[in-house]
Amino acid sequence: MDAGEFDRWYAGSYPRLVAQLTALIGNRAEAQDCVQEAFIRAWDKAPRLDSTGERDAWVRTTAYRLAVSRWRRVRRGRELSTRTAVTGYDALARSEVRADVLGALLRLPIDQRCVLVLHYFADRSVAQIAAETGAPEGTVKARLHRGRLALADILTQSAHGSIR
Amino acid sequence: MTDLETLLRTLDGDLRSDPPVGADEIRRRGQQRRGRRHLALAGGTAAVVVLGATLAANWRAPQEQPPAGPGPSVSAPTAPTGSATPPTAGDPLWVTRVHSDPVVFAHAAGGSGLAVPNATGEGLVTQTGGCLVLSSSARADQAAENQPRALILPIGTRWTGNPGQVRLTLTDGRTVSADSWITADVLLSPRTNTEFSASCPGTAGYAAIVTPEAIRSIAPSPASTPSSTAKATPSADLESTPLAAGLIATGEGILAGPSRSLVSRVDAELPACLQPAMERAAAGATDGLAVLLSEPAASYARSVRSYPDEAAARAALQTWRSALAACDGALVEGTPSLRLRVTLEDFDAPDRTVAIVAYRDDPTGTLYIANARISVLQVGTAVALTHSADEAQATPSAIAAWQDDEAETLTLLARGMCQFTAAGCD
Repeated sequence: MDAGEFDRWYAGSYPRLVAQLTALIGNRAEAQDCVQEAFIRAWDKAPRLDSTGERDAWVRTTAYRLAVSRWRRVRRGRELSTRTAVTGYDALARSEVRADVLGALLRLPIDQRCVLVLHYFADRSVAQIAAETGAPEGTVKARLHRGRLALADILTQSAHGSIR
Repeated sequence: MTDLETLLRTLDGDLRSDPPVGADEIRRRGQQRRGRRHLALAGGTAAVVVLGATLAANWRAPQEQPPAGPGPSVSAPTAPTGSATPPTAGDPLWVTRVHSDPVVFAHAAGGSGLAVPNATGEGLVTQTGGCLVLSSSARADQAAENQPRALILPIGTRWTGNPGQVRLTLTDGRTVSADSWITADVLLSPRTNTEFSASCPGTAGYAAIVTPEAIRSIAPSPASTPSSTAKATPSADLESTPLAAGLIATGEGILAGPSRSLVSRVDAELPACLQPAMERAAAGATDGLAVLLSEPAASYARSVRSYPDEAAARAALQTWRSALAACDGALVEGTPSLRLRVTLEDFDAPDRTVAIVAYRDDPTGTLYIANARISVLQVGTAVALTHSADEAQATPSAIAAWQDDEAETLTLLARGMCQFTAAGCD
């Protein structure tokens, strides 16, 4: 991968990878830092990434690992989402409804959230998600299904004021 | 209710943001990172490689950085005492003179807080041009890449020597003297940096150590120890292995060792299915040393064991290999259906094996939020083992990334273990 190709990839992929990581961890500033660091590492490893053909997946995984690693250091809790969610996203969402969607997403178990983000944010197929997460396709389908149901349920309750 | 898919896709759009820095800056930092790794790898050739001479060939000089002031986490400095002298005209503002004969520089109090180590390496503390420098044990010559660097010690370093005796005391109580062999995370200037050339003729650039914690080890020079002229003793060899390279305690992390007493503790943290291999590896070894970095939800351990001869070390490696392969599918103790899934990678090399351990629930296929990485390396008469464990899922892409990381660590260790081979390393 030469510099020009890297630059185009970075400009095109950075925004969507930040969105995906924000949806996973609930804090956009943290997501921006981690995605940026992952791209730095990607350039460091550029010759090897050429052959993978899965650069976005590599950056996504690396950025997530970095976020998990930082999270461990501050020891905010066992789940990445719940605590950062309350403080991290409010200023980002452009409407209360969208803030609610992110809040609801962050209430899901990480496995379901991950599958929803990969499917709806990254446009990954069930087979691609299975390959990226290491879960069987049946498990991915089940998580997608349960995740949708849970998300709809949380949003419905939220709309009726039964949450908070 | 609004269509769920529409809501999620709208959220995706809302959360996107443009890059805060340009791609050229990302590539520049990536290039620096690559350079740091090359330097660290080359710096690992413990007894003979130094910052500068050998490394210049495969390390691209870092970009100029702001003056190397102390980082914000540095504890309050102790005012230099003893024969501290005022700065001389021409000295950079970000250093202070701790001593005048020889001239010893340390970081001044205050500073930009922008100093970040950009390399890991080893070098000999010696004197050149009337200054304390970081140098090669090889003979220096006029070529810039073979000249020593001006050494900048951490903030608060004090001169505690006597006339004729170079001795500096760090704020953590450790001492550095002439002929000390140090391993440290350092901020290296480009060789063309001339900030210290007037004060320290014969140097090329500088090597700044930002905090005492950045100095991983201080040992007598290999050239000044009896072991360098005869066959090294196993214990001396073990201690020169860069076991702690890259392990940095941050936040609540605690880095312990190197210590012989930690070897059995490192073993005890391995999966139970490796118990027989642990016992065989321990039984045949003549000596062992280990470091352990413990974080709240992760641990990183490395050990090195020496054996009576290469055949015994090779046998120990094979024992580990077989045991790691046999762990695949093993039930995790105390669970009804959680099993280890082991991915082995040998890199087509006969001397190393990397095992990535995932935890899966058998009936459901669920990948648990936990993993372990175990690597074994044999160099001559010694065998190194690394073990990392944290709560990240061992997904296929994570496994690929970890294999890369482990390969880098093994390369670093291999270079630092040359003394265990009869012929040395290339």
